[in-house]
Amino acid sequence: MARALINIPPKVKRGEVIEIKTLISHVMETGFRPSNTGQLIPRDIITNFTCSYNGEEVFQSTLYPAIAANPYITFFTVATESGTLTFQWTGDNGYSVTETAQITVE
Amino acid sequence: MNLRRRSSLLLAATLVMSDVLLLPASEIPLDARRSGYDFMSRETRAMQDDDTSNPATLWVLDGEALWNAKAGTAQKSCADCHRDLSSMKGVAARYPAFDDKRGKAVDLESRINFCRIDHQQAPPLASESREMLALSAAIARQSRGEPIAPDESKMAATIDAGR
Amino acid sequence: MSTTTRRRLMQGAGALAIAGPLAVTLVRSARATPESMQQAIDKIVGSGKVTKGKIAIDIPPLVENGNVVPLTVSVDSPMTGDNYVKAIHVFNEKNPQPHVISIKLGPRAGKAAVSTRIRLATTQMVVVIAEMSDETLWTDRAECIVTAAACVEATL
Repeated sequence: MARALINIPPKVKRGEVIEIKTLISHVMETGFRPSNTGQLIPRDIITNFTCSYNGEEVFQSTLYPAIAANPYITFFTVATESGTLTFQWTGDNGYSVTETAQITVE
Repeated sequence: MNLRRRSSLLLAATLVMSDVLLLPASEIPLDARRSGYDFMSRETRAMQDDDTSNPATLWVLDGEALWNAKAGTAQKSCADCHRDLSSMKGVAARYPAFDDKRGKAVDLESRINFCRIDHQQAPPLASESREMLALSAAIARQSRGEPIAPDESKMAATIDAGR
Repeated sequence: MSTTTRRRLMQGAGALAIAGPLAVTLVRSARATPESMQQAIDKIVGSGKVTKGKIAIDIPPLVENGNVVPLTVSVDSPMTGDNYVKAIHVFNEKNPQPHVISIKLGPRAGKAAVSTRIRLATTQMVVVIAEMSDETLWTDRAECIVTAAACVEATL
């Protein structure tokens, strides 16, 4: 099942600053919503999202319940060389998803 | 004039008006109908227009995978009969449709389930389940931009019941 | 019924009438306030001096649905090895808790700008704090009017 959508420009020039767009499927249950019985539904959110570029961390974010469901996060990075971008999302209840994408730098 | 007479006059007037418009007072005439898109705020439209930021894309991707997955005791995928998902162009736009075999109007989700039962020998997908939403989203995506235009000719009784 | 008993009953009823709504308020989850948001901000900035500027907050002035509010934060910085944005922190005034997102950046970012979608429980201010590599702190804020609340409503 597709969990994440990653958008990287297809061909980039060395040194270019590119925008990376990410979208992941996750309910981001805040912990503040009451269920039909009046009890609060327990919190279940992604708490951390990072991106590494050929092993070096280039972006790190800490997420809170105020981030909307199916977190959409975009950020910029300098296209230094071709290689692998690794995206990792971790969160409550042992949630951990890793996706990779190739980047081609001319 | 007393209450009863006024009520029956009002009722008569409504009926006359309905006949004149050929629609109950609450129905929007065909040429005045607009997509919900027209009423969206700029930001909501931007989210819907951009496939890279629209969460629905995740369901469409799942649907594409399901389209190609073997299912049921017949071990057939949707692709085995229908070939490419793009062959579904225009299909979602003509639903609800009249199903001759079953003799009634059906929606897209029911049609998907009939295919599963009849051809894949697979159990039907639960309404609003992730798989059903994914498959119907992937199929509906093929009709993107097309006006919704079901063939109403066989469905007059169903439509009247809805009114 | 005797006068004394009726009076006692009325007093009792009065007490209940006051206690009633109070009890209901206590059961509901607490909302953040501008004060609790300031406390969260103070934890980040400590005793440092915070200057207004360098930050652009792109948020719709009004949203119908507080569950999906697009937000883009950009900080004016060359993002070079000796002059870059180290961190961006986003806070809110009136959600059940004051944090929205915290981001760590470095020169490899090239540009200090981030977009996401957030939840806002009601019309409120969104406050951004940017930490620079030279230890200076910058801030700005923007208001968003919310018609349908996120976070505290039972249905999504």
